[in-house]
Amino acid sequence: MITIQELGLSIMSHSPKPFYAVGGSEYGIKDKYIDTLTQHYGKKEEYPSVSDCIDFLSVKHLIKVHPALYVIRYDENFVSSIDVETSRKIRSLRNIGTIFCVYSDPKHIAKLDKFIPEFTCSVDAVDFKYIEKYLHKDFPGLDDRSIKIAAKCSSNYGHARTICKSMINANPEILAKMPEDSIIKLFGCGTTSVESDIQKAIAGRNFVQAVNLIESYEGDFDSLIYTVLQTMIELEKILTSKYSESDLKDYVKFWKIEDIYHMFMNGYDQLEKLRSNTSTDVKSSLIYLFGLFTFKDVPSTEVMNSDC
Amino acid sequence: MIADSQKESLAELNLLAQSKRQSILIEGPSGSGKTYLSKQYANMLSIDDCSIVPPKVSDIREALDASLSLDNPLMLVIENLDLGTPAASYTLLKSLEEPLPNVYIIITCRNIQGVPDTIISRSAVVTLSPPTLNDIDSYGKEKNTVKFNAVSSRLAWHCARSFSDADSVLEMNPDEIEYYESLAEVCKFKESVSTIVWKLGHYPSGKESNLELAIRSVIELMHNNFVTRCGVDCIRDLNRNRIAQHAVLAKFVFNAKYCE
Repeated sequence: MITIQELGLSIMSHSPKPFYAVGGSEYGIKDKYIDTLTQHYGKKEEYPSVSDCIDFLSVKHLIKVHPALYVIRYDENFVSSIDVETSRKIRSLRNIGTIFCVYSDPKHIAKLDKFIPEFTCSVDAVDFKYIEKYLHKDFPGLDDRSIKIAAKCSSNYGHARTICKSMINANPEILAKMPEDSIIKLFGCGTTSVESDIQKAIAGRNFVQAVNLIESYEGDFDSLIYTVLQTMIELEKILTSKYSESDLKDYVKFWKIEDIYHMFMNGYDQLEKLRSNTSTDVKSSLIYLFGLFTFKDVPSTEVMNSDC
Repeated sequence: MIADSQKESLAELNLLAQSKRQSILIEGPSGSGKTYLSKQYANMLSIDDCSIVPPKVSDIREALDASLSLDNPLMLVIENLDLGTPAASYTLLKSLEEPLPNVYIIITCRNIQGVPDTIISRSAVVTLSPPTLNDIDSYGKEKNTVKFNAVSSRLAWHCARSFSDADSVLEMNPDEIEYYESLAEVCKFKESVSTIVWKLGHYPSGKESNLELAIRSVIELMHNNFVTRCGVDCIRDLNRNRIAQHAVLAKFVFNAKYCE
């Protein structure tokens, strides 16, 4: 298999090979190479399958076919049918331009690598500094801050390029005034929830928000049960000593001491069940606990554990 | 010194020593002298090399690997296996099934239900009773008569239920002894749960207290059946070690503060 550097060098130096099978998750780089090859040949054609394309190029044409770029996307039949004969045919291709096959499944690339290793490449994660470099080249009109934000938003060059395309069409004055975090959030990046957000949703008895937040939580769910207990202890502290300083002070109006007590006991009960029964799912336990917010009075563990 | 509560178990170990039993499981409450009895078993077999091993996969594996290179008789005491993960127990299985001729494995546990059946079936089980109050007094008197005379009338000593509790009280300074009596103020439950939890877990100096003694002191000071029941549950949960200590304590305080 050739490396991404070898692939890039052959394409960027305008000496492309007649065939490439390119896989990997980095779709932006694949698009970039397709654009470069299109510019090189001045013509791009999409074919449904490699065999159709090779058949077309193998026959003699009355009017000479000029070298062009032929793009074939996700042709699984080619992968399953490739053999020594096909690889020989591919190696004998001359002056036809370039056949560029795009794949995403690593298994396909592994199979192709056995027969045509000199034409196969997997383009996966690209180094952060290369993404920035490529973006600067692609979007010369975009300022350095915006490029850095796009690169920070995604480790995928294709995704970062899409973000740059959006930013270049935005009002530059408004963009310049917006804080970095807001721009990152605007593009749906960096939105993984943190424990303090979840604690506020618990303190605010907001079932929908709490459930949504755990969907984007990447930490240990088990620790969130302790967050429920910790929140109840904190709320009890605010209720007991009015002078206590806490970020949760504004939420204490949603709670009576009985609710705090029952919520703590239900949380503890769920922890005990999780520890004694391995089939209990932590996430389900959390959603169960959040569901108790929706009651006007939080039910006791006795009520919740009773059969009727 | 052999306490009354240990005599029966010691006699059982004596019989096992005669048959040179290589795998023994000693079950008993915290601080009842399980490790002490293990060392007695080593004495019975005239084994000088006795290693105490925590119930962790890496530690057990390391100890077993090290035993392969030794020829002399060796005793491995795996402490509180029930507090370890199942993987820690399974690490021992092979050695229990086919023990090396020179290696003796003693496993201790507080709760036999936390030990896999495969381990129990491969070991001779010896059950150790909790020490009586007389045992604890005799132990304290023998260990440090002067200190025992100074603390035997104090609440901390009255709350000691194991030899390790007794050791802990004998090592306390006067302020720490005083602390357990001062918990009477905490028992008024005028402060928040978090403050009370902190006070139960720490001496005024900030050093960590003996939690079981603190809970038993609250039980003694409050004379209330409900609090006693909650306190016993709290000590049980602390010993099980399944739920974080602060959560177990907070449950006890929540109950004691709001349920009566």
